[in-house]
Amino acid sequence: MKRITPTPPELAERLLSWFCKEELLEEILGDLYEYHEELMEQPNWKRKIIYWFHVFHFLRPSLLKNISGTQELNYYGMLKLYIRTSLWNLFKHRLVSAVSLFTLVVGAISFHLVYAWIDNELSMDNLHSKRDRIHLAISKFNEMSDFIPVAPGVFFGLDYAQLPEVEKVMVIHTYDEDQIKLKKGTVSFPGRAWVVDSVLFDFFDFRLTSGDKEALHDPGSIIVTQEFANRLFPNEDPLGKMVEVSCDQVGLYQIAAIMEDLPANSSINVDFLVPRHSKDFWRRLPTELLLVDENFDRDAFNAKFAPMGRAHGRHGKSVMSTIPFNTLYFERPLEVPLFSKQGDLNNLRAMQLIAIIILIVTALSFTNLQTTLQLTMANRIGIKKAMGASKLNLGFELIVNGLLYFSSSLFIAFLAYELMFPYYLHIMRLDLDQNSVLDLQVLSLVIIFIIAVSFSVSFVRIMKVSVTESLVVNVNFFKIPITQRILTTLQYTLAIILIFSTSIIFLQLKYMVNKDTGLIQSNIIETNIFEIFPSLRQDSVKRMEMLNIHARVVNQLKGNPDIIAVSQGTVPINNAYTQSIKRADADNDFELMNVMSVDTNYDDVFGLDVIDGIFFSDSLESDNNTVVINESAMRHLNIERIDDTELLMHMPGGDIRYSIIGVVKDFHFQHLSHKVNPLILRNFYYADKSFIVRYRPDARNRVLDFMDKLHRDINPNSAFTFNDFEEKVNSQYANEKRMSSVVNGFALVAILLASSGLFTFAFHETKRRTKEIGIRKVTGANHFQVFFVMCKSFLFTVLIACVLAYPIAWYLMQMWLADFANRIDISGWIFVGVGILTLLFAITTISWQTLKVARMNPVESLRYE
Amino acid sequence: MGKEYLGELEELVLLLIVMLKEEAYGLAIRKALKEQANRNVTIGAVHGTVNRLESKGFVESTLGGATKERGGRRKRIFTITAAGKKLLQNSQDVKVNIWRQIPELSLDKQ
Repeated sequence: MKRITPTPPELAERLLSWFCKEELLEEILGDLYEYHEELMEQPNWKRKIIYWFHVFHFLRPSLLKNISGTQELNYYGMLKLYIRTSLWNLFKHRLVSAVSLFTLVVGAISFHLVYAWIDNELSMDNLHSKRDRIHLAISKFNEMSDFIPVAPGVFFGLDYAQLPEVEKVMVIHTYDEDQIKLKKGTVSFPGRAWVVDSVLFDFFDFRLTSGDKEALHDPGSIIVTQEFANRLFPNEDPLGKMVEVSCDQVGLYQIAAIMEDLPANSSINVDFLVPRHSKDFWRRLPTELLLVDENFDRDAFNAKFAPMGRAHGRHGKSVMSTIPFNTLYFERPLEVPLFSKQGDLNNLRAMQLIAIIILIVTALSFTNLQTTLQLTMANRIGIKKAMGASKLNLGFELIVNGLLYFSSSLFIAFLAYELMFPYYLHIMRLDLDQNSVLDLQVLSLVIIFIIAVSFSVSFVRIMKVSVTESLVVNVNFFKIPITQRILTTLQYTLAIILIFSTSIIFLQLKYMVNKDTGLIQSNIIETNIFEIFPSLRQDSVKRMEMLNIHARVVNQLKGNPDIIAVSQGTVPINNAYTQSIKRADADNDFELMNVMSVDTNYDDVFGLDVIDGIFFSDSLESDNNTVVINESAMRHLNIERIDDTELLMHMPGGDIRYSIIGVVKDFHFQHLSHKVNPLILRNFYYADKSFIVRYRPDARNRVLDFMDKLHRDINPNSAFTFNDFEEKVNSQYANEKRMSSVVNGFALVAILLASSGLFTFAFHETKRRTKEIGIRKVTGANHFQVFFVMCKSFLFTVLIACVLAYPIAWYLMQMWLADFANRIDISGWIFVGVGILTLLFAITTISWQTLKVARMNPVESLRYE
Repeated sequence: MGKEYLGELEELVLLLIVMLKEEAYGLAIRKALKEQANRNVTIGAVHGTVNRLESKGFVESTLGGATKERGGRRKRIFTITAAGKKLLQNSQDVKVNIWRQIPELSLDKQ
């Protein structure tokens, strides 16, 4: 029987020849070879394990190559010596070393905190391999109106077979958390859902943890995410379980597959997927995604695509178009319900700038610290040179020193980063995934960069040290070079700009939160009591029944003495939509204006002031053709008397005339960065909209109890939830708040790093001028005078930084504030305040060193002369 | 010259080197350890021990001829030195001496 004998793994032999003493290598490899033969009887995997086990046991001190180098001066020996001297240096100047290490750690962590966010934004939706071939189909009903993401295929009956570029079409209805839920028995779980065609997995690379992608073909199946499945069935296997989908449609489905949770860098965020063909009709507007071929030419396609809807008789003026999926995250020209996250290019740029500033400031600080330390050690370098140290020797020593800094700071930074990352996400309200490998890479790259910059500067400086000068002249007479002073001044300038910005952002935020919006904000809650009513066509009996219950609920609410006013609709925060409107009597063109749908009690709940005419009321007959406008709209449209003027609203079916019955005082219905824009109020009433209730200030708890009971009466199986209007108003400023905390954090980092530079100056200067201070004290100067003399030279740096920073900071903040229609003025006090704060910081930093010198006994410093 | 004492494994290995004569190389010593003393050690441990013994001057080594089953590599054959013999003798004398003073234990054993 012939057998091919496998030879031992080559890698193992190479590893051993790398590490083991050369003279022993032959017998070691020989023995192992023989042993390998003996193991032939074992199965392959077992043989490998045993073999490697033995290989690792050869890595023992007596067999390893000698690296001690105590007898002979080889490179290992040199390395050992350098490590020893470096450690000794670090320890001797432990204050500077500690500050250097601190600078590295803080700088690297701050940089990566920003970088993690930037990386997440830039890698958005990268998980989908076909993302460049996916396009969103949009349409508009005529040239005048805006594009909307309504599925052209569904609405205009397009035949995509005429477009060979399009490989696949997918229709999606998006349901938000308040529109759909899964029911397990009687318990409801609201979630975000896509009601979607079965081709989904041809478009997007969502990964399944169990079940298979064919699940969507079966109309009785549903796919849920891992996280949502865990919520539904905490301790069971969710696969195969039955759940009830409840929205405008109701049906039983079986969980056929589990999807991996979507990562933070996915703009799509769904909890479950429902096959679209399981019902004939879904009430949410459908959107359409197209999968196109590799050679897709968007402009040519759009030209061909645009008029295709006109074949449909009723929409002779309609226009179709497409938007690439991969641009939708950062540039979204229209609201798309499909994707729950949206990026902000300005924010991204700002963060990139901050990351670069942090990197520069850290590199400056660290370089500053290290070169100042070199000054202090100049005579040591002089001696080395005199003894014949070459460039190579000195450079090698620097590298060893750098490696020590690198390893220790990387260790601390990595640990600290991994620990604080969850808190960072929480404070900044960010959604990012933690990736330790990336963290380690970025942190080490940043630290390497900073150390490399610093040590190349140091190397040049060391080369310049003249032997005689450093040995003959007392080392402490080396003055701090002008370049380093300039560097520190620059650092302070950056720090002051950041402190200034953070103060302005803070004040502006406070101003906005407290600003009178022209609306009553407090003691108003919004709650959803009724689910969507079925339409007459769907179920007329149930609809009548629901309307009866609704009438009872309204009566109960109105009858409660604690409740001042009740309305149904949406709270006035960014819920206006635009429509083409013009004065009926004027010749001008239609223009887009903000329109809001309200019911007759809206003015009572929010305290709208009617300054002319009347508000909508139930007794008024021709409700549908009347509007109420705000003061801005009156001014904008040049209306003098509302009785004389009518408005024309552009509608797909034909323009409609509206008479103006009243004017309300301006109130803010958008983010306060906007002026109060012209607004048209129309009277619409949906019985299934949310209730908005304003109650007496002292009756909050009673009203909440009452509402809770009412809610339970109608929906025995779901809990009562509500939103405070005031909270919702304040949450509009979440973006500004986040910006404020980001700038705040980095202002702190910048001032800390700048202080570390100043700190080293103080460190060096006090050493250099010890004798001078001694003489001053002997000739009668007191503590305070000495302290003042010492501080004077440093504080000058800070003052120059202030002069440099103020105009830049002022300009930047004016630009930022320009985006706000309602803004604060930048007062002189802010300049004074920031200046004083910075000075205080600087003085505290210097005092550490100077106070020590000021209090020192002059005899100490003069004795050795 | 190194210490006068030997560890337990060192002494065993030294004895086995004497026993194995021309065949006293790493892997063979490991095999003998297993057979004679039922001790399972790694090849690396054997190599560490013999190297230690050599640096203490109790064994010396010569390279044997190349063999095919070792991939053409030579064996290092260990032989005991005079100092090694003396040490083994010494160690045995000490033990025998002690054993003699505790007859009851040695009787039990028989």
